[in-house]
This record gives sequence, C-alpha cells and structure tokens, in this order.
Amino acid sequence: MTALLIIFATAIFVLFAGLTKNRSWLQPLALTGCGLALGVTLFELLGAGPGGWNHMYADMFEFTDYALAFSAVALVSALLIIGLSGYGFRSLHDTLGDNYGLILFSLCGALCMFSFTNLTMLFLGIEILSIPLYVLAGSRRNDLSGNEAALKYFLMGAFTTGILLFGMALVYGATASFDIHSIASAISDGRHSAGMLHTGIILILIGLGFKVSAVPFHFWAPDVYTGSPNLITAFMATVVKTAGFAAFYRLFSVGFAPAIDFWSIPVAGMAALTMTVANLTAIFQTDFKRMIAYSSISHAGYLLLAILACDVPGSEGALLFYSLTYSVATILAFGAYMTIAEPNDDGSFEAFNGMSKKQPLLAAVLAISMLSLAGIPPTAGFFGKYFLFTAAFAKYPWLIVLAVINSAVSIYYYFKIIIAMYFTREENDYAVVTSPGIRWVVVLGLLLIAFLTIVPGSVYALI
Amino acid sequence: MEPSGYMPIVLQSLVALGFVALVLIVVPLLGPRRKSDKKNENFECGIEGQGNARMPVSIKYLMTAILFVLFDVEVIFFYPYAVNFREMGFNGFFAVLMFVGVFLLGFYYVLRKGAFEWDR
Repeated sequence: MTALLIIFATAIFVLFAGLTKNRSWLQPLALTGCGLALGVTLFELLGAGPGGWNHMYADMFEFTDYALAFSAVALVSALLIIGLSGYGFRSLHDTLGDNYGLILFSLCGALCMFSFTNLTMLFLGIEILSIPLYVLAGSRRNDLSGNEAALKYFLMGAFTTGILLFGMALVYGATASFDIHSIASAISDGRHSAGMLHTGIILILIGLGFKVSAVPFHFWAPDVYTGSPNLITAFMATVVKTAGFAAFYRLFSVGFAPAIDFWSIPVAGMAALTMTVANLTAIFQTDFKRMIAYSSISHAGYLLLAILACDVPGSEGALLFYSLTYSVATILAFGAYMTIAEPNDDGSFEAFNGMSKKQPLLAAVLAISMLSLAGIPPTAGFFGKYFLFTAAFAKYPWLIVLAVINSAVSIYYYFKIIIAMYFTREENDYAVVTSPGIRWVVVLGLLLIAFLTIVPGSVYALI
Repeated sequence: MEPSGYMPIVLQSLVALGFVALVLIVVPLLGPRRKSDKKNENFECGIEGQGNARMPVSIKYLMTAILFVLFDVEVIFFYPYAVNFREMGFNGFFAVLMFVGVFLLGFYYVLRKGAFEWDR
C-alpha cells in the first residue's frame, strides 16, 4: 500500500510538473518515485511486513508476501522502462509530463491487481491499468499505425471488460460474495449454483485471457504492440503481463481453487494452443516488434502452466521468477532495439545486420536477452523455464513435452537476431544512436540477469 | 442457491419490451399521416432550413461537452452526500473534501493545458 500511495502521489506530481516550462526534471522525478516505492516494497517484503494496511479499505486489499514480491517485479520493470524514457520520449515536448503520469497511473492499477482480495478491486485494478494504456498506445497523435493500435486496443479491451464483468456478476450470483476467500469457502462447502459458477468462471477466464493475450484471445496483441510507441510496447509486454498473470494466479489459486477440476481443462487447452500457435506464427515474422509480440504471447502460454500447477508448492515462486527474468530480458531487448530502429525508421531483422561491430555492448545485451527469452541453459531464462516446467510436470506431462518442443522452436526466431548481428556478411550503413540513459539501464539490467543466473533461488524462494 | 424468484423480473422485462413494441407498432397505425415538401424538411419549425446539417463541428465543442459531463458527474455525487450530510459527520466531510480536491486539481490541469482558450 505504501508503494501504491507513493506511485500515485508521484504520478500526480509529475502530471503537474509537466505543465511547467522546465521538463528536464520529469524523468528524475518519476525515477525517484519508483525507486522509493521499490525500496519500501523490498523493505516490507524482506523485513518489516506490510504494516497496518491489511484491514483498511473494507478488507479489499491483502498485502501478502506474494503481493509485495510481484509489486517489486513491476516496480523494477517500471524503473528500467522509465530509465529508457530519456531516449524513447526525446521527441515529446508538451505531452512529456502526461506520458510519465499515465505510465505511473497504469502502474497504480498493476499494484492493485497484485493485492486484491475482492473482485471489485480486481476489476478496478484492471481498468486503472488499461485506460491509461489506451491513451498511451495512441500517444503519437499523427502516426497512423499508433492510432490504429489505440483504437483496436480500446475497442477490444472495452468489449472483453464487459465479458469479465459479466463473469464476475455470475460468480457473485452463484456464491453471494465478491471476496475471493468467501468465494472459495462457498465453493468448497457446496453453497453455490454450479451452472452459474462455471459460466462465470469461463467468462472471467476469457476476460483475463484477453488481458494476458492468450490464444484464442490474442489477436489484438501483434497490431497493438507494433503500432504503439516502443517504450509503451515494452511496458505492455512486461508490467501489464506480470500484473495480468499475478492477478490471474491469485484469483484462480485462491478464489476458484476448489473448482480446479472444472477450470483446469480449458486452461490447459488454452496453454497448449497459446504456446503452439504463437511460436509457429512467430517463425514467419520479419519485423522485430511483431516477433516480440508473438514471443510475448508464447510466454503467456508457458506462464499459464503456473496457473495449472497452482496447487503445487513452489509454483508461486516459479511464476515470480519467470515474470522477472522475462520482463528484464524484454526491456533490455527493447532498449537495444530502439537505438537502431528509431533513428533509421526500420524495425526489420535486416536493420540489425552487423550491429556487433557498431555497438558491441548493445549487441551483446540484445544477444543475452534473446538467449534468456529462448531459455538457453546458462541464462536466467533457463531457470525460469526449469522452475515452471518442474512445477507443472507431475500433473501435465504432455503439456510439458509440448512446452519443451515449443521452446526448441522458439530458438529459431530468437537466433535470427543474433545471426543478423554477429554472422551476417552484408552490412548496412545504419547509424546506432545511443544515450547515457540507455547504457545505464542496459548495464543495470545485465547485472540483474547475471544475479538471477548465479543465484536463481534467492528470488524463487522469496514467496 | 439456485436462481429462483426471478419471475417478477422476467415479467417486468416482458412488460417493458411489450410496451415499446406496442407503441412502435400502434402509434403509426393510429396517427394521421400528412406528407408534403414542407412537412418532410429536416427541421420543420417555421424557419427555412439553411445548408446541410453535416458540417464540421469545432473540436472545442467536444472538449466542452466532455468537461461538462465530468463536472456534472461530480455534482451528481453531491446529492447523496447532501441527503446523508448529518449522519456522515466529519469523516464524510473530509472524504468529500478530498473528492472535490481531486476534481479541483483536474480543473486546474485542464485550465493550464489550455482547454478553455477558445480562440486558439
């Protein structure tokens, strides 16, 4: 809660600071707010505990270690993304403060989604997360694809929000409660109407499946990811995905846990479809951002395994670790991508040709993040997949076989970038434009990945 | 808790739908019908129509309309508060004060953003 309050206050402060003439201190301000919030969250997580916040606000929040750890993941991602924003937002002038403000407001929604105990709070969190993003997706007002992205995201998002709400209403009708603990006890006591509950769960599954872009509700993702400004895409692929999965896991592992026999079948089907369809489609992409969009969909497929294994001890830690490694690797990839794609206005794989000679550091970072996303053994991404797959293996061996095959397929398209950077003869005359901010973020992110690689257990065992 | 006792709601929905259908069908049948050039004009109000209704509307109008909706909703929240003013005491007062404060901040924000500069 302290982190939520800090982020909210920072957001309002940044919004108003953006009205002044001097905009150079907006980024430091946003960074300070996020850093402070991260510090407080880590302090609460590792030692002090959440304080007296738990029973305020009509018991709608519960600041467990789970909520705090995921808040820390989202805050780390936000810190790295805002660190890149000096570069990513360099062409913004009048709307700079608004952009920072909206990102921070969106982050507030994510923090609500980690700690909700009430479906109302979950819904509010999702909306607080989404509405600023609809605006941010279209924040380049004169860009046609940006407008397309914003409109598609908004229309589809509003529609699935309706479905989600309908599901919540049915669950309320079946169990007479919005509180996830009461819902769980109502289900396990048999004090519910099975038909209504099951319809409600399926509708909620559709709504959340859209938010985390799981197949067959993923169709918005490639267009929206491609059309949005690079930093906003990075934010969607990391913070939004983490928030979506943390909320998904919390709702299904606490609220709907007694009904696991019912919902595990559609979720397993969704996971299998998501991995397969996304990886097979990603092979044919020629644009980096579209490839990353499909890669993020395929990672949603792997993350669904954690939800299937939610009654296995250690699945929370696996979800946490996977979210963190995936987020850091994706943000690093976007940092490196921006330096070559934005100045030359070319996002295809060919743009990376010969990058290792022009910018050895950025090329190495991009290579490491691709290796991590693919899950090649020494990198942190491998441990993420390892924890996740072992958690789900006992119950779903066939899904794990499919997931491993899919990970092997994914190596193909992740390595296209590495091949372009290191092993391509033909070179282009593209200039790589970096900034000190990007180098800082990249080094910090690399240190984080190295830390996660050397002592994966430190994060895995947090919750 | 099986869904039961919803019969009145079903009945009410049927009555509502039936009323709409009835009005839509019966009124044109019963009412007199006159058709003439004057009668079929877009805005038949005694003054001759000028030009076309499909003309570009200044976006400032949209801004005003949206801001009106926003602050109108704020005022709507005052009604339940006014009714419960005494019971809610100082806690309620501070809650409403915070709500209005947030709105004032928003007002200051749109002011500084230039939403009210008509001639720009």
